[in-house]
Amino acid sequence: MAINETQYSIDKLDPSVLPQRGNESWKYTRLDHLLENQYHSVQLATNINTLSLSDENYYLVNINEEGLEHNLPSSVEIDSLQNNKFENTPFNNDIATHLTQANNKMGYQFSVVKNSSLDKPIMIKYDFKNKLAYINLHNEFIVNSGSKLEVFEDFSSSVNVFVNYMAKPTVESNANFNHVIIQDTKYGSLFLHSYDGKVLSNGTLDSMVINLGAKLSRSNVYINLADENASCSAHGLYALHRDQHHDTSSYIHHSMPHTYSFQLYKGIMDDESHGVFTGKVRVEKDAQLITAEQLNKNLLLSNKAKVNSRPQLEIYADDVKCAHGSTTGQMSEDELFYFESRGIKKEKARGILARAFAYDVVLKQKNLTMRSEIINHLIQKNIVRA
Amino acid sequence: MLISIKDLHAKVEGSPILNGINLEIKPGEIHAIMGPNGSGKSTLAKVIAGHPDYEVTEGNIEYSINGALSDVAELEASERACEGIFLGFQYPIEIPGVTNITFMQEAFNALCEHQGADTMNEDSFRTFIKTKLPLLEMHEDFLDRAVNEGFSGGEKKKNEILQMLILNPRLALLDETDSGLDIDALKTVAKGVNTLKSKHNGIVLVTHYQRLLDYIEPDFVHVLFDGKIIKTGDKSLALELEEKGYDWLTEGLQ
Repeated sequence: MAINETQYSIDKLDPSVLPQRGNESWKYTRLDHLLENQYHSVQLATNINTLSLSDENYYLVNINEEGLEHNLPSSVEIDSLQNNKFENTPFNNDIATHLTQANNKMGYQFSVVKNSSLDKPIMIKYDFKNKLAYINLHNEFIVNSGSKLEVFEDFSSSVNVFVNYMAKPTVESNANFNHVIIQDTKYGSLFLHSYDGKVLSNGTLDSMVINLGAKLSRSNVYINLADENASCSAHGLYALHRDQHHDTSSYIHHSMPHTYSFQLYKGIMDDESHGVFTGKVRVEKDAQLITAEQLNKNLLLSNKAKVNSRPQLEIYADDVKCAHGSTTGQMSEDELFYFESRGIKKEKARGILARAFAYDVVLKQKNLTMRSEIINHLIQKNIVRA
Repeated sequence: MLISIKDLHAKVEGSPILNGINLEIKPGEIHAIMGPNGSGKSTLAKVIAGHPDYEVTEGNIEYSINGALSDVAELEASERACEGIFLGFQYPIEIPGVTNITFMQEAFNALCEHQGADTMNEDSFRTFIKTKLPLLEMHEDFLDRAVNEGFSGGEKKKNEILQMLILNPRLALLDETDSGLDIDALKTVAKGVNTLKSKHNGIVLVTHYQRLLDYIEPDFVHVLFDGKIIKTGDKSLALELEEKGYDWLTEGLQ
């Protein structure tokens, strides 16, 4: 859809283009925060440099305002990208996409050659230092047929920023991509994240998105199971406190028969925070014999925290296995008393139970190095204890 | 004196359950509390342990802390536990996502911290706890499973006794620890309880059946009815109740 780009220019954003309450997909999330802060669009440098540093556990990629540096092996090719777009996703018409189009954008393509697998995961660290910068970034991951790739993307920032990040993974036939995105930007930041995943025959995409730091964050996750025997897992965790707001909108598209999707999204809301989950699974008419599982569970740690959870199924095929569910509740008093009766103080018990709740998602991560990385973030955020 | 309960009245959600309990327990004693369903037996155990749903409306509970009897009204359940009061649950709670060893280590270390002693790391705690498993015929696998999740009725009760032995309480309140156990599990649980018994501890057995008392010999048997102790005797009272039921005691009281 053609848009008037000047209205979406971050430096003189037209308030009327922000999603209004009538917009179903943004029903519970306001972006007025965008108007309250004077963000300025920053053009990332296009340098691709070699990093001499090495790490035992990861191949390293650092991305910041000055460009990219890395120590990747030759089986991974990197190119800078300037004109990537969403092609045909349900989020085409989303504010995040429009902002991407209308402002300075920058990104990289990571492509793994056919039939190769790396001996350790890639850690992509983003560290933005320009205060109130608007970072408009999109990365493509092409996992060519027969390859395996594991990527851990870590967004942190020492200042308040606005990041609009689009990740576009394509998993070719018989390929395997394990992908974690963790958003742990400074409190006060704004984070929009769009995911445009495509999985081809016998390919597997395991995606996990952890939202922690930003005051306001939104994840639009779209995965298209585009050929037979394609499968994906799309898991997520959002842990919020103070007045943080997070909104996940997930859309799993079963385009073809014999495709499989598994989703577990969990939220922990403390203080006056607000979590939103909308999970759509669409099964096309000819996509018979698919399996789709979706579960959203939310834990409210305070009386003022709230959550809106909307599971949605659109099924046009008639021979499918779909399961979905949503639960929201407070910590069980019986469980808490069991701890207390053993001498463990209530506050500590609450911490242990919150950790147990979060671990359900964390344990879905099969790579133990990446799993412990997630746990470290949760420990730092005091969501779990060491 | 270990604990002295005077004229204790308590209610839950507005309904009075305990209507004037008087009970004294000295170190080294085992007391059995029997009585028909709904008489207040479990409530008494929970009130002593400090369950927040139960409100004490009259009377008090004094418990020996540092050699002197103190009113426990102001103590949270966790503080009472740290002072050596242990509640064995009738229906032990399942806690998905928390392993048994983590749960017990947290409890043990909370106690250590309270007493100003060194806490134990997981390795040394595991070594310590493994020494207690054979007594209860428990396999080490239990330690790494989620607390009570997927445990059979007997396994849950053994797990309660294991926790009791780890925490070594001065006052153990065992709420229907014998219910749902087959005879072998009952003997195992009784062995665990008898291991705790010493001249320093008091044990309260809340039970419906005389059967348990064949294996754990009580010094006193109390009959609770309508929130009051209506009769106290020695172990022969339990045998008498087994034979005659409660009607001969409760007639005219209702």
